[in-house]
Amino acid sequence: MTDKAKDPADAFREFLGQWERGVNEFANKAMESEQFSRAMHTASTAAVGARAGLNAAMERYFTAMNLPSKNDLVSIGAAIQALEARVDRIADLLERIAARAGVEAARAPAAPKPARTRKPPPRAAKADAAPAPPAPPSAAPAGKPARKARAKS
Amino acid sequence: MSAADRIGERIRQEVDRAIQRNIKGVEYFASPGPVVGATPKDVLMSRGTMQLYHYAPMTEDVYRTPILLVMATTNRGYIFDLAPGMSLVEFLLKRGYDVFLLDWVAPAASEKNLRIEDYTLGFIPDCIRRVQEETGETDVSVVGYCFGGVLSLIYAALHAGGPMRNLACFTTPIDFSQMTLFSNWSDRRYFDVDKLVDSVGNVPPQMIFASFEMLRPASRAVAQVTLWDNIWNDEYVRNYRLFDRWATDTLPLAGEYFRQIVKELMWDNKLFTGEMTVGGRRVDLSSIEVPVFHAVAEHDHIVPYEAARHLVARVGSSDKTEVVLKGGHVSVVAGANALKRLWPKLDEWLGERSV
Repeated sequence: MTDKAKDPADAFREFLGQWERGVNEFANKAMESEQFSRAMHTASTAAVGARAGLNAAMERYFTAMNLPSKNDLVSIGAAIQALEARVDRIADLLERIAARAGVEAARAPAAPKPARTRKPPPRAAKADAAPAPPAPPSAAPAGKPARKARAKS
Repeated sequence: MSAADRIGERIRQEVDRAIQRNIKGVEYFASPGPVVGATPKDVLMSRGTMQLYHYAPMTEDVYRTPILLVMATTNRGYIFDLAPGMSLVEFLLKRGYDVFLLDWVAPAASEKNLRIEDYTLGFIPDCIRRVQEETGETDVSVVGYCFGGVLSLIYAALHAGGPMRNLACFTTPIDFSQMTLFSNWSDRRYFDVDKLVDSVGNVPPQMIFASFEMLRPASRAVAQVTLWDNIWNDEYVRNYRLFDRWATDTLPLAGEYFRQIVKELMWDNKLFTGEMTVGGRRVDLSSIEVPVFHAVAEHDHIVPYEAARHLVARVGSSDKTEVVLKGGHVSVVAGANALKRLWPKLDEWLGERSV
């Protein structure tokens, strides 16, 4: 017997792993049965029905009390989000129209885009490469991505 | 070292760890959750449940072809960007890719009628158009994870003429009959999906989370015990919190979309049989001719290999690769395992196809 096996903490961890595998396997077998599927859906249908009934009752209660329900608040939130998204889209559209018209408004200049000229490192070098190989210096002028013909693969 | 010395050392170590557990245990509950998704990015588009991000390049030059990562609709996209050093996004940026992410937020109640059509004929094509505008490039590589892979596959089949340049999928099922537990739980004899969707609108995230948890019912309890055992170890705790935060951050699914998934994929397995139609067009996987890469996990409990293995065989591409990697459904794409296994393989495959 090894020292490791004698260590009560390691023995407990091993037991825990075995217990996990055993329970998972047993449960998976049980859950593959038709009976499980039927029982699960009987229970979940009842739960969904009860929840729907409760929600309807709460809605009626809030309406009677002249208070906004959760659905009302969710709808208001969604409407605000939709408005925000629309404003974002309009702003985005205006920026693009302005850019196309060449009237770059008095806004901060965009950061230069990197040249799109990168090539994969040679295979042999790749094996020794560090996780982040240094980028070779770019020949393209800043702000104007270079275009390369598509390589045939 | 004698046996007595070893026992003494072990006792000292255990006492020290017990003290650390108490101190760090308090810290664990008192400290905020870890920061995730911190790589600098811009929001390019935000439309309801859809978000398109562009990550700031990290190299002076980038590959010509940009990458669009497509996240599964059940979970948040920060699995690709958990933390510095544990981020696929950061890895790709440092390797010289221009990276975009199609991510999801919880669909609003008003989005309950979204269908697979909205995802594959609306969201993905719109994002690709935006990526093209942003980069000035026509070609785009798409990388889909899990159901994001399914959506990417459907998109690719319906847009065989381009502009997709490469398609990489991670743990993507196409034979849903082989997802045995999910199949059994959605047994059409007992599961009234119409009743469920009609009563809840969007399917609540608790239900999605519970279905994932039920696949390994003992694992959460064991994970908690193991966390306590290792709570003296800062690195372990950090990783646990990152993955736990992501795993529990499940999204609701749009009701109609869920109904379609259950009826067309779980019940009728139409993607596999070739009978699936989206927007009136047949989804024919053999029409996909771009290079395809599929990474599957050896110990995937969510998408078993049997459910995923036909993908490469079914696509019409001549340039196609399947890699079977050690790990599970999540560890294959994120964390230390992915850093050593999947990410370099993806880089190697994608690099030479991105010029």
